[in-house]
Amino acid sequence: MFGMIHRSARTMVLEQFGPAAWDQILASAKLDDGDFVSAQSYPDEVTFRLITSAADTAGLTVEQTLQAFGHHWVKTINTGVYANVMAILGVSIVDALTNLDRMHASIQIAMPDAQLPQFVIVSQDERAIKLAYYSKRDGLESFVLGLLEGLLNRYNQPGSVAFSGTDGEARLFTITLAPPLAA
Amino acid sequence: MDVGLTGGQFENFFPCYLVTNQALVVQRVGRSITKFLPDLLPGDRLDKWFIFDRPVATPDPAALVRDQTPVQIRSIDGRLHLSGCVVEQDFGFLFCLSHSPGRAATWSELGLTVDDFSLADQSLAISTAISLQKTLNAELQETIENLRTARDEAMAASRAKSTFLSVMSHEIRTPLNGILGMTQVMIRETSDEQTLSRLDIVRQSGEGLLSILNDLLDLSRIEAGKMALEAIPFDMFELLSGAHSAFISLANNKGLSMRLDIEAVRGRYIGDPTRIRQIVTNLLSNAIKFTESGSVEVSARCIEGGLEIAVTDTGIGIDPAKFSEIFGEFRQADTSINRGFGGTGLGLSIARDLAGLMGGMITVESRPGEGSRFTVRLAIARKNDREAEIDHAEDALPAPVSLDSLRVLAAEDNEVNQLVLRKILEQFGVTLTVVMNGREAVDAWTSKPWDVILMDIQMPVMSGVEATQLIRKQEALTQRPSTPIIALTANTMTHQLPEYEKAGFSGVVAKPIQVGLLMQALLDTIANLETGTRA
Repeated sequence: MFGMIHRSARTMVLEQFGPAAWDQILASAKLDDGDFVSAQSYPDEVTFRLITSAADTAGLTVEQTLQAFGHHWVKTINTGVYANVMAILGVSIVDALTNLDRMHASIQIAMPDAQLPQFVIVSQDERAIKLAYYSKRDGLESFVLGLLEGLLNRYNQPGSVAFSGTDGEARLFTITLAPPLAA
Repeated sequence: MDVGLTGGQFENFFPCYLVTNQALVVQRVGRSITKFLPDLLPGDRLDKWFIFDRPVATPDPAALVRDQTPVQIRSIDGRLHLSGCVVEQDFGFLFCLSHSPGRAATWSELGLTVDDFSLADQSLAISTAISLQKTLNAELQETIENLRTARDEAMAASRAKSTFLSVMSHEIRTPLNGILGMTQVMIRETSDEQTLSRLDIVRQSGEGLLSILNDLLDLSRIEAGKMALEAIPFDMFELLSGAHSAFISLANNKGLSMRLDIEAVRGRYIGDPTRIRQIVTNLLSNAIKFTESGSVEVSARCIEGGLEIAVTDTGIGIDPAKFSEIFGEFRQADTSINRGFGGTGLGLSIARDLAGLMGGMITVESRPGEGSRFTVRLAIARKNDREAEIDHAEDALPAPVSLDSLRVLAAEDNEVNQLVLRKILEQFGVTLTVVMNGREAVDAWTSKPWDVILMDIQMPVMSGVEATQLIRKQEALTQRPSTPIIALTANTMTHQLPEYEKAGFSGVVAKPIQVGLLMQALLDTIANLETGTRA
């Protein structure tokens, strides 16, 4: 994964647990250097070691940690230097989910070596949106779940997100909007 | 190949399209333009809403099509910047336009979203790339700041280390003064051979410790950028042969032969003889230390822009892979060397830094088992013969003078140092009057005349510098003849010397006191008194 993810994870740990916890996480993940570079690709194994170690330190499961990180990731890209990229998602949760895949596609062109996920809206009505998520990586469903919850928060849209199983390669998420969108 | 597209398909490719007639009257408008300019309607002239950045010439739709001219337009309100080309269709001139990537920085302010970009062109990706680039630049800036902070912290730590070394060296010097001073006094008073040989070991050990302290102090001066060099005339031949002679007995003890080949550099030079001697002494000391049989040679020759001094030995040699390491601080080519041969490992580092400060360098050629050759190149100027003669005249030593009747006042708060001073001077027939601080020194000076005052620098109540300033001020007011005041201090960093001179000191003698140097300073003072050239 690209260093921007690790940097965001570092910010989350620093904000919630302080520098000592970050040092501890790096040490238990056997990582010498906590200075990740956004545009540099790091082996996935490094990322998972970091997440596992963070979970240990925070006393959470890996899934809970990934979910919390999904929320934090939306915050990261919504503020500061990534805001310009985030803005092109549009002004509502529906816009954002509709445009999520094109945003990732455009980032993929800017960073050709990144392995970015694909998102496809499978079905949608005023109550719920069913979203298919495709990735060459396994084990990140909790992260996507947290990320989608983060998007609901970002667009001030009350609602909930649930992982609703797989369909072939697709891993499906249901975003329930409550109250339903105005027709 | 003719391609047919529905309106919706076409609009996905060109959300910012426009259709005009030959007179540039708008016929149709793409959705991304309508989003931002909802009042732009078919029938409006294009120039009511847009100005052309390109073409620069007055735009003619037929010519734009014929010449495939790139088109760039901006809305008069300044928000939209569009670029693309014009094709002719049976319904009019079709402007196939996209939001210009050059304006990507303002896209989020404008409120552009994914929908405003073509599925077919890469303007969205370019925008994203530009935005990410901004992110990376910000990150780089942050990294630079972090590195700068880390560098500042490291430098502060290094300065703290230098200060610590300097303070410690100073603190150790004071008791060492007692040890070395008293040993010198006792050696002069003893005739018993066994006691003398034991005292000599005490003296040698003390001097060894002093030499380590001096290395540490030099290191901290160099690191603090406070190593100032002198530029005075000196005789290079004397310097080199003197350094060479000092090692002959040590070399003889090891069965080594010592050679000297320095005829080529006879003459007077301008430079810092103390520091040049230090470099050569250091190289010689290493050469003898690491040579078990054979010879050690000092040679020198003139080169363009200065001279070259080489110390060559037939010792154990150095692996070329270790060349860069041997000049490092606290480093020796092999850590086991320290145990086998002793030494702090500071000498070569200091020698290299000193040579560097003199605009020169030290190089090494060596192979394990085949000896080493260290070469010092110094950018140093030789004086012409006439100047040299004048120097020689200045060098003439004053005639020996009796010290019996000398009235000497010493201000020194440390009792051990008082005793050392008293004993040393007693051996020359001088009776010393001792006071405890600068204040008492000023009082004693006020009450009666003195031939010379020996003044410690750091004292309670009033420092030596303050006392000297006060005395000089009083002398000026009362027109009393100037009393020579010699500073006795462990603080003999070159940068402090002008401070002492400014305060009115007539000379400086370093602690631990070396009997010879102290006596020379007293003799100089008396010589000045007698020739009426008081400081």
